[in-house]
Amino acid sequence: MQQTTVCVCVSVSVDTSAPWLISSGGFSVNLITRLVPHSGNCEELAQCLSTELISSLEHRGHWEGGSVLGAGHLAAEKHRGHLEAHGEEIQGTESARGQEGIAPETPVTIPVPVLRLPRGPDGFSRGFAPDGRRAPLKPEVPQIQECPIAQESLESQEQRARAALRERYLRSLLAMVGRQVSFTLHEGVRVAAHFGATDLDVANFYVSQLQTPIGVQAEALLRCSDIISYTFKP
Amino acid sequence: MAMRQTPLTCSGHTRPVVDLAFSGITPYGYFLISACKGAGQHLPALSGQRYGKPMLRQGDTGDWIGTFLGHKGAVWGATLNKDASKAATAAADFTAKVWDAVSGDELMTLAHKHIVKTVDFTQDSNYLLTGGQDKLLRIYDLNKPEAEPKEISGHTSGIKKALWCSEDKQILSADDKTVRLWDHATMTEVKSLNFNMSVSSMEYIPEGEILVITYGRSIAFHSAVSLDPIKSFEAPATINSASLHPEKEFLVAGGEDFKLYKYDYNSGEELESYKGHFGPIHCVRFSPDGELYASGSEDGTLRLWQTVVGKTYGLWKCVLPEEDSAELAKPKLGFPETTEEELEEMTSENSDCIYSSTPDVKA
Repeated sequence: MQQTTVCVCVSVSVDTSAPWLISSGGFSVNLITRLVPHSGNCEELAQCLSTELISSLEHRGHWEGGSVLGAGHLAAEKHRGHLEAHGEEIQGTESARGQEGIAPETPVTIPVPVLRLPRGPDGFSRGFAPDGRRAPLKPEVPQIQECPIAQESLESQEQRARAALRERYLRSLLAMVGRQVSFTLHEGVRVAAHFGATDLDVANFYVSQLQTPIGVQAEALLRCSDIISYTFKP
Repeated sequence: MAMRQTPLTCSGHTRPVVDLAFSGITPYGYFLISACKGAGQHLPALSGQRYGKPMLRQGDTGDWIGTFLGHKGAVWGATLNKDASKAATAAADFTAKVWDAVSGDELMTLAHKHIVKTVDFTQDSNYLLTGGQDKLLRIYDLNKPEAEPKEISGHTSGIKKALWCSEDKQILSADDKTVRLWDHATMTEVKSLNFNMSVSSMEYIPEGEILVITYGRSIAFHSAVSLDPIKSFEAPATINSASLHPEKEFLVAGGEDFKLYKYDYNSGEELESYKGHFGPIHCVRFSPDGELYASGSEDGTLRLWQTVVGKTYGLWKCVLPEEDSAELAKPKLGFPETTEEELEEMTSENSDCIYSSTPDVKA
């Protein structure tokens, strides 16, 4: 059987512009080229690339555990097009090289899965978010002492206005029950549904017959944090 | 299937991480502070300035909470008080600063006559011990910051580390070649140890009064009360820092060969060694619950390592043998800054390989 020897090159350079690859340590790995003999099967290539990348990175002390496997797979996807084109070229000059696959790594150990990577700085503030875990511990900013009576009525006016607005909103929710409501979600997605109810904190809307781009869902919970706006005709 | 350690890298520093410390266990979990030598990359407005930026992180996940801004030089030492309400930092700008660790605000700047290297709070957070290149130990009363600190002299070279011990009745301090024990009340030296090689680090374990000292390739354990030696181990390379597990079953050490070593404390047997850092390791510490340890390196990263590999803790998720092996082949990595909802999505049975997903949508 003649083997198509596809030459794929893999090397590692540090590149901060490709965050979709290995993101631990804030470094990204850009897979470019290194010659690896292989059979032409792209699935096998993914494994080859992973293995090669692992050994390449290990050699350079850049081993990152589980993240490397992912990068190998992803790199294989990206280079698939390149490979196929290159493979065709090579076909014309088939070499009689034997089965020179890359020996699989032994022993196989599984990297401990992680839920996500630790969150890093947000890039624009010094942090200590007011909604952080320990926000209740922060000392209250002392209020400026104005004329006490005027202060009170201002506050109570505000409080009355807030109460009135909230009551209007709650009544609007009541009016929505059983009606067809159209929701605008992120990324320009619009869905329509029959409104059922909301929860105590107005964090979720219970809806039925939710019309989504991928079909109609009989019952669903819409997270209010996903909703940008909604509209209905009473 | 055997599980392989997945270290969690905490990004944010880009200059060498030279010190790190954990708080005690608080009702909000425990926290970690790290100090680096130079400018953090994440604040572009200030990136032109080469100032150290100590960072506060959630201890069990490594999530960044905030950065303490204010020092005008490399930050050499950082510490938290027991309940993580205050932080203290020691810097090359000749000051030590005390911070509110909840709001990030600077509370006090304590002027010194030379580079400050080390800071430590007493258990009740009423006093701060500092030490540095001026060879003096200083004790500040944090309730009276304007008052002059008490000074203890005696060291003949710059102080690298100073720690309260024996319920704050004594002080341990290390300079280049000696470790000294001082009585707090009388401010006098009680005992000292001499070394042929430079002392690189010191850690104090209150339960059991154990002192961990590293010098050359040695990791030595002494009584913190008498300074008598207990035992010592030799590592394959020069060690810069070591830490003893709270239950005294293991110790971890790291140094010039970029590797982290884990030893059995009782037998001295090397249990594991981990590659992962791209530069010498400057500091390593166990968390207060002993479930993980953190390492800081010349490569600018802070990494968290599991003590028991494969256990569910923090961001590490245990995988039971019954679970689909296909799932295991696709490690579920998240991108940074994912929301809680995306996190749930990623770990659900039906989630696709995340590498083909569209960019993050923030709710």
